[in-house]
Amino acid sequence: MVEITKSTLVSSIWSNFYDRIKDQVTSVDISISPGSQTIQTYASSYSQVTFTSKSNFPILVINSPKVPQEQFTLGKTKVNGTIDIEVYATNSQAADKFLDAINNAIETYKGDFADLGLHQIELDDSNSDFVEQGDIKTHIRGSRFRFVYYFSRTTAY
Amino acid sequence: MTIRVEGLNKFSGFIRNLPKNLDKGIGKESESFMGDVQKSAKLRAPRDTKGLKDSIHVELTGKNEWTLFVDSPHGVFQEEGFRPHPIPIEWLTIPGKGPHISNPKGWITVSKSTPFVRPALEHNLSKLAQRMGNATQRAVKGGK
Repeated sequence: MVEITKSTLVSSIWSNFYDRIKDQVTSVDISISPGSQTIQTYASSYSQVTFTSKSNFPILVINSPKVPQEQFTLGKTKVNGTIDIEVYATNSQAADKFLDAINNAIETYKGDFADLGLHQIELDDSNSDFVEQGDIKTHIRGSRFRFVYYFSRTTAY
Repeated sequence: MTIRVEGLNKFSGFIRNLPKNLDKGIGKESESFMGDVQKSAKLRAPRDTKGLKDSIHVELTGKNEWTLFVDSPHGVFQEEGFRPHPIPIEWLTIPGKGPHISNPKGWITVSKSTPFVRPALEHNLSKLAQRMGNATQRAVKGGK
């Protein structure tokens, strides 16, 4: 886990989610051949998803967190952040199972995130999509998590 | 008998802040919605050259008004359809990255258009009402 500071807010929050997901979400069992699917790539943006071959899938994308801020108290700033995590798979059952694994990984390790200062982590929304590129049919599942982080404000007059 | 209504200051503060919060909340949700449409359109766009996919972008064009642009000239034909016609194979190249195929000689017939903006919009529109509802709810809560 990476310490979260206000100077490395985006990168350190992303790293923590990335490490947790990479650690916990690796493969799932499915009922059809080949019996299981293993994440091939952990990416940071959907633009890294290439449709050149089915063997590139499944791809797990941990997007950059959004960190809008508001003044909380005289000396503290509150970050009402969100982070989107998506999985791209060629099998819908695998996509569903990966989404469950993602949600479970975040839910189970809320305590570890809280130790780093990320509080009130909640699943805010989930979505699904399906796109076809040539012969490759891709099932997309995504979850958006909300979190809160506080840091000391720099005061200036 | 004395009747005193308490909390009017708090209430008027809430009402004063409501339009501001609502405006901000709706604006943020609109941006997020258009971002999702853009992403969805990019995933659906034909990728022979990647030029079309890369040309899809969203810009703020007014107060709380976001517009999706497709700069690539063949975007409109993919979206609206075209008659089958031959094109030089060398056109299937990735700009700045060399030929898409090893021997870019000859002609190839393109016959199938792939709409990408409308399906992306349709997919995301189904959740727009719910998203705006949530944004309004958050704005009202923020105004308390």
